[in-house]
Amino acid sequence: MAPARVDIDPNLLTDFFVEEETPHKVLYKLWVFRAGEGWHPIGPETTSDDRSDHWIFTPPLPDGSKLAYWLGVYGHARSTWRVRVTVAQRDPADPAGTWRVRGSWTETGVLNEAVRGGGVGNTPVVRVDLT
Amino acid sequence: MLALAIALGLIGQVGPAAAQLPGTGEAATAAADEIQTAVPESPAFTYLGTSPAAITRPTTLKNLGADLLQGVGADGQVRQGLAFELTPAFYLTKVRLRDYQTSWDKYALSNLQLSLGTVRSTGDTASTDLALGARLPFIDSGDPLRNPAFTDSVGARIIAEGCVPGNDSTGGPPADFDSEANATCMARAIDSLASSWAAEHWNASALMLAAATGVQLEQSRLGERRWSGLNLWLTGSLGLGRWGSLIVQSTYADNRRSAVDTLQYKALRLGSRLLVGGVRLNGFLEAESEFRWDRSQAVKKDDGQWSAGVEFRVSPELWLSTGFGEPYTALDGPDRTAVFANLRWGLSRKARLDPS
Repeated sequence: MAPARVDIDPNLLTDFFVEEETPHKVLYKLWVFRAGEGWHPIGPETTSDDRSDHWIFTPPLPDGSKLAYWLGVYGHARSTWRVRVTVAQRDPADPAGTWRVRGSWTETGVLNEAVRGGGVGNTPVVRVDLT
Repeated sequence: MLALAIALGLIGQVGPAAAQLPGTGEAATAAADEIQTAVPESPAFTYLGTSPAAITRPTTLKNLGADLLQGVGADGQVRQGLAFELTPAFYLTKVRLRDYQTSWDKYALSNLQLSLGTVRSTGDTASTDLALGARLPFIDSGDPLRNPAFTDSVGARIIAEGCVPGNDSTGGPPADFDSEANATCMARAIDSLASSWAAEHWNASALMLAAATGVQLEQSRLGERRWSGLNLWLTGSLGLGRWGSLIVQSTYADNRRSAVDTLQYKALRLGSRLLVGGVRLNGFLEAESEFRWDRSQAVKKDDGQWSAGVEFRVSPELWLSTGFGEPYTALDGPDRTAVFANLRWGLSRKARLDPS
């Protein structure tokens, strides 16, 4: 479950990752709000395709910035799904190597039998403060 | 092929496609329900002979632990009516969709399903039967999630149909997004894809194993228990072109649930079903034999049955059908019936036995 806020260093590159941890097709959409500037929508995108699900935001992301996301899921009916969302920043002393995970959490749910033999589900739009 | 199926003296119905796929038609499913030799979706519940109205599927290990603890009362007695289903891979590892599609062991691991249930023991309201089951598919070529092209098309279709939240006037997330309505939109968007997959893979080949065992708890206490037996199911199906499917199943049962020694026995059941589906002809032929040993006189030695049904399309809106056995009679009734050549024939405006 998403935290209400994630503490970041506003002057570093900020990376967002979306990764399914169960065999489900995941669609997602991100919105990043840079305080003093506005919203930047990303997507819709899907996981497990040929496109990366790693998004990098250049600094600054000053206090008051926000992250919002939505997840849509398809898979076996009644199956339990899990998707990890991660906010991370590179260590400035080793920008090519060490990650500092600022926040990482999972969204989970159980798919309904919405499609014959398969299931779909989705989350509300989840909002997280970046401070 | 029909003669071969009879000669085998077998009967069965494979589970994976029916369990996971949009694919197994109502007619075939109805027939399978009568026979009850499919690999069960929840082996523990089948072992106990129960169909729980609500099944707990914990989404975290913490929840699983809490739910299990709630299953034992403060007096140390196990509660009756517990029903759990869980996939260990969900708690213990990470399996991405691409891994599922390219790695057999990750596919099998992520589909390993455990079930746990309790019911009141027959003839003893204070005692409880507890069962643990496992279900493992080795092969299921009808699993749409294993097909990258299909899963990619699902994502593309949902996006193309606009079943994703838009942006508000500032480019931000919408304030009034309705996730329930969006789920309905997603389901509608991919329904035709699922239907097409079902039609093309109704007879997909599969191999599946299931097992269940249990204990009987005297006075429902974990410390006072006796083993109640073991059931094993192994089912394989082979697609025959686009027109048919041959299904073979074996079931082993060491039945000790009855506290009465004379009602305990061991059994091996072998069965087979041939399903045929086409533009002009639909049908099924099935047979089974059960062999019992380590039994008393109170338990019948061996048993067996067979059943068949066939229908022909006479005209675009007229099907002529006939058949034998309970699986056939369990199907939706025909619009009209007639007796000819000592056989009861049904006339219907639509196919009744279509397995697709």
